Amino acid sequence: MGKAKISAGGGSIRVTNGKIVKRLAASSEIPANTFVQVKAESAKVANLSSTKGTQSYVQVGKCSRNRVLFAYTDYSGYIRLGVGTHNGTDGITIPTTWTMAPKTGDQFRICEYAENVFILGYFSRYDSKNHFYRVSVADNNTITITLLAYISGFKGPIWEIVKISDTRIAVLWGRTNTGMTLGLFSISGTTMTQLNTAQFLYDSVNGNGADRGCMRRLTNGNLFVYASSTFSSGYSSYTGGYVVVINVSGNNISVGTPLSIDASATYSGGDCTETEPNEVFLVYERSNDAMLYAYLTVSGTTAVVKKNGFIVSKGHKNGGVFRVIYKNGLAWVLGNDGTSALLYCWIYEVSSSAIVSKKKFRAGADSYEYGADMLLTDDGYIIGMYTYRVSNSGSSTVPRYFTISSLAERAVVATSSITGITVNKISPTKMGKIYVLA
Amino acid sequence: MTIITDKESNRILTVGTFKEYWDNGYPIIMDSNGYDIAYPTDFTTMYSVGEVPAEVAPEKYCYTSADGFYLNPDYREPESNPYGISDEMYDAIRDEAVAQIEREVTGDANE
Repeated sequence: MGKAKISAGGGSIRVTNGKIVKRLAASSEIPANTFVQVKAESAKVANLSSTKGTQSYVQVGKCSRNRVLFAYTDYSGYIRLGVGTHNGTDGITIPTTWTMAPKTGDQFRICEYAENVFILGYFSRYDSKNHFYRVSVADNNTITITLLAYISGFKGPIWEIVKISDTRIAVLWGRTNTGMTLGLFSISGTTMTQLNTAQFLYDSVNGNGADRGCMRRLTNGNLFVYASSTFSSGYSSYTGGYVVVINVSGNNISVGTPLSIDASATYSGGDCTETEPNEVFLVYERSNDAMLYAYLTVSGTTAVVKKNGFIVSKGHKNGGVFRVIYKNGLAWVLGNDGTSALLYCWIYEVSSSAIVSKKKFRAGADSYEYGADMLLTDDGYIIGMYTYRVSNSGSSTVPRYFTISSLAERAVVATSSITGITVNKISPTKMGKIYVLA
Repeated sequence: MTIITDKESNRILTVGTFKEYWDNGYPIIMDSNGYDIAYPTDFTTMYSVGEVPAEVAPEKYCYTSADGFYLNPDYREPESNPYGISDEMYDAIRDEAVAQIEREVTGDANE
């Protein structure tokens, strides 16, 4: 007989002889010639990687007076927030001082909640809770971060935070063994309260489901969700990409019937934007294959595909669609071309089913772990940021910024194959104004 | 030198040079890469210290006024990903493997 020492809580060791025999309580004795399987507690696993640098996620948000909130995760997994100023054809004045938010370990999302106020949320691998903070930007660009809530009970990266009303937000998160979850929260001052949650795209038989997604609030007030599963067929009854439209009324959440978009859309997620009231342009990926779009119309909680097709038909893999902006029949897609792991912005014309322009942002050593995001300013510019890690063993994550012009001047874009977008890179240590545009 | 530590764990977040305070009271520290970083006072503590031992590095060491510098007991060297796949996919596969074991054990508990 052998003795097993089981830590507090017991039950994390089980004994098998080719099959499950029993779970053991703390200080159980284990029969001879038995195989002991030790469960790795998720929290412990998280601790083991507590110093691991994370992929550098990026998001940008609008502030007043042509300012942009830039946010990214640094090499150590901390979120850095900074304010830059958009100066039209003069480019961007980039942040000179960053504010360090608490450590994440996974991706974060920010939601524009009020003028110069954002909600920052992320799932922390270190305490397995969803963390939410209020981020406010003052007139002089100082940033103040205030804790709103630690939410436990649902694991998984936060994929989107959407403002529902002046006092409410909806949060989308997901993980392979929980599927997707929509959480409804109220915010009053610095107090955040969970009102309700709904789980969907979850296969209760196999215990798994979709685990990544994006979400937009439509003109009709409903929430449009695209979600996909990391793993391919045979793993879950929800394999590939799905669209789900969700109605929130009071504290009630009504999840519409999932619409299968593409059974091959595994591993990578997508992004979407409402182009007209209750019409959505969605861009998603097929793992190791292609980048595609689906143009949908939504009535109530029912979505129908009006048109779909390829944006990049082959050689596109595992990249990630960071952001889609749609204007004047053109879709601006910021994503990764998997063949070379390079960041691109494609400009896709829906009517002609053609890429009318594209720009490569990054090459060579820049291509190790990155994030990217962009937004459309009120005066018709696209402002963005991407990051890269210096090298696989590097110790810093470097942000770079870009301005895309010509958004309102479609002819200029359409007649320019490569030069339609002009990007200026800057040295990470050279903090000054950058000038862009041809 | 100035040290910023995490208020809960006391681990060192940065070693640098204090520059000034923001209007909201956040101290701005210039780190070793030349970045100016403002640290939220709700979550961090600032210390002014004389010499910082050469072996002290952010994350790897902790600091308190009472105990001085000491090794972070939770520190582990970063994981390597030797499989030629993206870190994102590596993490997803690793997380799923852990989740699968969790499911097996949870299922066992229901028998």
